[in-house]
Amino acid sequence: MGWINFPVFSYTALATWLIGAIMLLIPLKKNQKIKDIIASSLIGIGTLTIFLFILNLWILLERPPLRTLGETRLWYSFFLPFVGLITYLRWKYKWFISYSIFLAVLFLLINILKPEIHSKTLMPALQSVWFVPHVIVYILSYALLAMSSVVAFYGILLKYFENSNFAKNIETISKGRVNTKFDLKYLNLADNLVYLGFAFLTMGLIFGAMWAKEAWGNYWTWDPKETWALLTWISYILYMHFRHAHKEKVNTQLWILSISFIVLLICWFGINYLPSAANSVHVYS
Amino acid sequence: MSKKNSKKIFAHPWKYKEGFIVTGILFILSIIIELATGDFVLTLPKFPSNWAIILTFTSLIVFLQIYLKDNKIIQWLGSSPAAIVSILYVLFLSILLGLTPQLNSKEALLQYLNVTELSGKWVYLYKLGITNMTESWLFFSGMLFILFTLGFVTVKRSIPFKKKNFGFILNHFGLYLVLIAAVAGTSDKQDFAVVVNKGEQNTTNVAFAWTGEKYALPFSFTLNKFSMEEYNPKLVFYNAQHEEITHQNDNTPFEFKENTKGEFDDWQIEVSQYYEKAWIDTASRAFVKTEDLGNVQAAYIIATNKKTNKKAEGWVSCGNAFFPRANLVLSNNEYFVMLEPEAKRYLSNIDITNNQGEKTNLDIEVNKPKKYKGWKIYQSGYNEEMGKWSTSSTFQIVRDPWLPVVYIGLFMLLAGAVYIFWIGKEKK
Repeated sequence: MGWINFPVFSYTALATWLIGAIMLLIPLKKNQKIKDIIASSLIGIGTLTIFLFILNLWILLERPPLRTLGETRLWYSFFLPFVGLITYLRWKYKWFISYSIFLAVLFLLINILKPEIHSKTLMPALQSVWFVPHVIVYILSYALLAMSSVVAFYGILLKYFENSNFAKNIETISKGRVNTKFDLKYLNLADNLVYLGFAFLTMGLIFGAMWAKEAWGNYWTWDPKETWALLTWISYILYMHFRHAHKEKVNTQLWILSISFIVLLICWFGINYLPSAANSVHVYS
Repeated sequence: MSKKNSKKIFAHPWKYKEGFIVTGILFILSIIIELATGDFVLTLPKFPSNWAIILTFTSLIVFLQIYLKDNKIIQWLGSSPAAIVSILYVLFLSILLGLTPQLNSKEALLQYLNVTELSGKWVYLYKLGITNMTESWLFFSGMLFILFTLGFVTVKRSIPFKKKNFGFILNHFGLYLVLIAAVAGTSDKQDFAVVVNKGEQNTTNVAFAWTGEKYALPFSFTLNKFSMEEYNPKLVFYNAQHEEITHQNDNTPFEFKENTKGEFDDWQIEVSQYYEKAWIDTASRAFVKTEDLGNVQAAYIIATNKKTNKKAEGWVSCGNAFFPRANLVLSNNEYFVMLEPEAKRYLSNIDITNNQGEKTNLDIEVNKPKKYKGWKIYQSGYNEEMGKWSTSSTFQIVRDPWLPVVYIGLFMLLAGAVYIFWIGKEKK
């Protein structure tokens, strides 16, 4: 049916994305800026291609393609690089757009290689326009918050090992190429990533509430996943307020950041193992 | 000799020490009031009292911040330490809530614990309101504290208005609106279940609250028709000895479709006939197509084992309330079985008649609620044993007049989130 044209669109997208991502990541001595502009344009073209396919499918099916697992994955393959591209254009984080392209390629490949589960239909509650946005922003938020923890952790390692024998050895071995000096820029980067991750986290919480209202009539029911998502949200709010008020208290900031990330992990994975959470709508058997 | 940086507690400016003491006082006061009021459950009064309270509360904060901004306590309430302490308090209460089962009455708690009397830690958890947090004085104290800190800091940063505070105001005032509307709204929210059986003689205006209480609605429901579309049923393997149902090895579901050949592990399956609507013809003992009431899904399959060349063929049917199931026997304890199909969509056509006799005809479908005079009606269930032949339908009807306020707050938070994404935490 509508999926007959899929190979043309998907191969185009795959090619432009992969070439674009590789171009973006390869450093060039001269013409770096032009190279990056071409690379991001290619990524944009790939993303547009998928969007056109979704539009084409929508028209052919005479309904929004929101009913099957395959259709859902198409939307992931569009929104992930789309948001990744916007984030790149604004913040220039190459790792983030590469990550979103990686996921987009993954979802596209699943659709290409496993066409028989295209039509695996979703439960009525999942056939909502809020489903895809809710999942997308959480995927992206978790990536940003995880990366902020990694960066912060790296920054702290540098702080502890600064001027130690270990650091001196690394410097000697790498002939000065590996940075062993603590630089505030790591914590500033981690901070910025928290802000971006938090923005997406907020959107995820709100989209979830809108979805719940449409599907079950209540936007908040203190379901374990919801409660832990709220705890995660509050933890990062605590971090942002503390950092704003006490810029110099780096150690406490890092403690709060680490605990917040642990709360995030409990929300993400932990609740699947908590007995009280067994009846949650978010636990997938 | 006094230390340079030490300051007397409660000497201004207040910071964290005073904040934690204030929190402690709030906590203890809440517990005392909770214990003193016993089984009384705390809710805000209904409209218009809750409106009046909210407006007064907000106006008070605005007034105090504008006219008494030099007051040290008001300055503290709009400060970072107060904000952080109030966030910590809310975090603490949320953790308590998250770790304790929440039930809104003693009976419900007893039922949940499967006991006739509360004992041990449950006595305290119940008495302190922790098992029903959202209606406890503890929760109220947490809300009060955070609404104060949110309110004061929002007014502080709004007057005089500067463009750079735009995002801040969106986020803080947005959250203020959401919280205040959620709290005030609970008393005005009405949430009921209505069960309707088919036919005009079964017209009902009785609604049930979650507690089981009956409520008479100002309008009545009549169920004209319940219809359901099903997905194609699936074929599975059933081992009667182990009472185990299995899909094929690679977990892809085998769906019944007309005139198809497919594979199910070692078996070649040919679906030579597939009827979505069939029943048994008593003469031929075969399933035939029909549009008549009570029809069931059925298919004729020919299964050949590729390894042993064993062949088995016959009718399979998932059965329904009117027809027994039909399975294909493969061996002593092994069968091919058609699973009951899953519901794709189901909807009810209803008439709602109000007290003036005016009728409104609506189609209510799952995930597609409809509005009626300030109420929102959701298709929530049906008689699952009867499946698509269900003659009863369950609806959830919700009235949430504060919802628009919550939505304004949520949209402000969304806009605030986009703002945070765009501005980030740039180092100039």
